[in-house]
Amino acid sequence: MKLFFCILLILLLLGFTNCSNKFNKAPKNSVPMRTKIDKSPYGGYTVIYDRDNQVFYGELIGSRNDTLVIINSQLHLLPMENIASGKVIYFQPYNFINIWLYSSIPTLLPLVHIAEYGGAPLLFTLVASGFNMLGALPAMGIENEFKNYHTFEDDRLSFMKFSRFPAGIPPQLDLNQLSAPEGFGVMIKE
Amino acid sequence: MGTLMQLANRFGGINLLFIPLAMLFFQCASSTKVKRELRHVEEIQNLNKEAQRQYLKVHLLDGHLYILQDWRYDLDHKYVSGYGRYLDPNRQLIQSKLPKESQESRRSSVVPFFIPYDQILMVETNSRGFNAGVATLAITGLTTMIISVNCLVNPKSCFGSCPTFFVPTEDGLQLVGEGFSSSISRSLEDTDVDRIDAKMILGSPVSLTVKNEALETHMIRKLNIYQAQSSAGNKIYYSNEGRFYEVSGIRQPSLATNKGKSILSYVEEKDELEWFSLANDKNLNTKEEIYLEFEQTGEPVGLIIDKRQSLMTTFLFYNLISLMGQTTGYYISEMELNKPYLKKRIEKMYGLLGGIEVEIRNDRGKWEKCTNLREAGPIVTDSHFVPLPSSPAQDKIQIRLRLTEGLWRINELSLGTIVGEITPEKLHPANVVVNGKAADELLAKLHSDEYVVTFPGDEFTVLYPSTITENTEYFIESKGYYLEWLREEWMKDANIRMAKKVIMWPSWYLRAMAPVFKEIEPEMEEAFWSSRYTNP
Repeated sequence: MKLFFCILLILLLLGFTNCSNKFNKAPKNSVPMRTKIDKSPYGGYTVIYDRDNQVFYGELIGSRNDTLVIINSQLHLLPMENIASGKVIYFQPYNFINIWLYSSIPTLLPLVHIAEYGGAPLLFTLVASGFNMLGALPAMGIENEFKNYHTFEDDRLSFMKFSRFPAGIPPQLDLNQLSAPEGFGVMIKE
Repeated sequence: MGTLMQLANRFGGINLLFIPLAMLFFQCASSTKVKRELRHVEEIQNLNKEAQRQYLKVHLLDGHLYILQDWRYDLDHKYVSGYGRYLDPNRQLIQSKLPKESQESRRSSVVPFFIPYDQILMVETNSRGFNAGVATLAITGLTTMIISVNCLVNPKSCFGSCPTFFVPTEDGLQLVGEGFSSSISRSLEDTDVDRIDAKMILGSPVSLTVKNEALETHMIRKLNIYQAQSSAGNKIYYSNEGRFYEVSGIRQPSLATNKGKSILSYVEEKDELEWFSLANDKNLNTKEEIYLEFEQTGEPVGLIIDKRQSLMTTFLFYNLISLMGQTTGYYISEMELNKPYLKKRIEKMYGLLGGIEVEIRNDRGKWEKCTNLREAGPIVTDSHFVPLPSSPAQDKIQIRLRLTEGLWRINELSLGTIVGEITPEKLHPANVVVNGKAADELLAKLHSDEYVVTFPGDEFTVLYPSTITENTEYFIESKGYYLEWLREEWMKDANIRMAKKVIMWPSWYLRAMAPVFKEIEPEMEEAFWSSRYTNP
């Protein structure tokens, strides 16, 4: 039993140390989950600060004639030279809490015997779901290690890769006809 | 908890908790990053091989987008083709073509998208990254699911029944025995001797933790330990006749068959594999045989049987109680006080199911009965030793086991040479500890003829005046009985007329219950013995 708790402690410590948060959080319903990034047709969620310290946020559409285009409920055209800093977040980490909850559903089954065996089935359920949580810790730790953003100022090429039109906005496209999904209209707290 | 630790121990002594720990250490090496790759369509063949199995996004000159999941390219004719979605610049769906139509419709009507190179501005693939930690979650999730299903269909295996005995090992408390499983009333009180098969911590005091993990009242009259020294490499076993033997040269059978099929791999040594068969669907009292052959050495030998019972007796007993309903208490007290014949009827039912009859082919070529092993209990396997009469005229030692179909789980059948009969030292309790405090009252009861009475959830540890030493074997001697608590749900099926018929005609009961037991047996056995052999 001592060994059990020692390992539990080590795992918890390691698991939480791993939560170094290489990912940045994007608003709900904006960017896809990591496992669905290959199917998402939209650009990443971006937050831009201009040299007047004004903040713009929304879906990263792309660039046209040295102007960065982002969109939320309205269109923003930002001259590249006026941008001080920016970040594009292109996926949400996979939510392993849900997976842990699903994997713990079978551990509820023995509770049907609670009338016959008293607290033992409940104890079993708690221990088994705790065991599943231990199993989920490495996955959670690793998920937090996935980098999900690029900054404008450090790596502009990688930043632009995660726009809706990564090869540049087609010249004939009327920007005023574009719209973004609702999730991009929310400002995240940094 | 005990079940989890037991399962951990079954994996070759590797504690399952090390798996997530190990995975954490190796996570960085085995996980891969999220990557997006953009290329001009003329370089589509240069996309890395992994990318070629993933979704392809085809960005068109006019801002439209294809997201293809089953795609190809044709370098000669300069086009990309595939199934997926075609979206406008606002990413609204224009057309969808799914690849997983039936083969027929795919051939006849669903034509993939064909996109000429000259419409394409850029192609894109994304590597979603791989989270190596998922493997750990899958392992732990699957493990707890198997155990949970087992606990659902066979709660006794999880939450215990009869007094369960644990000893301390390096990996924590290990379940090593269950006491007097068939002693369901005072008049059926019995003494049980269980061999402790666990690696206890050398130098630590000899101790036994007793738990009541079921909805039962346990009446424990005796709880002693036998300890006996053996020579290095030898083992000590307990026989049905109450004797202890030192045994050397343990060897596997050269032949082990049941219904013409070899079962050798299941019984040749004590391991994870157990042999068992399923019950007969017409009559639970149907016998079968196992034939064994060992090399003849001319030495005095005995058969080592490591076995436990299936859930059949548990099923029959619970079913009988549910038929008796609220009159159960009345009938048990009548059996104790006024109607001893009731006890005989219950014993008759157990007698019909029988134990494991061991026979040896003697020098006259006849099968000669050696013993009948009867010890009940479905939770923990227990080793028994059957000294065999010599049969020097036979080239091989031939043994026949007769047992009820579907009643037994056999882990090991081997032969050992008898070094000699020994008299072990009997250790009486020196101390009893409950919740870290000495319980002198319980100690006094274990030394007298009084009962230690335990209720569900009770647990105590008995310490003995000795320490664990090398080449010493330990056995638990327990005496007592238990009373099953009546469950509310059992009252619904009460049928006293039927209960009387069962008591009067146990052989009829075993026939009548056969199809009922067969209905639940597969799920029960499959979940409980998911990794083990079944003989349909």
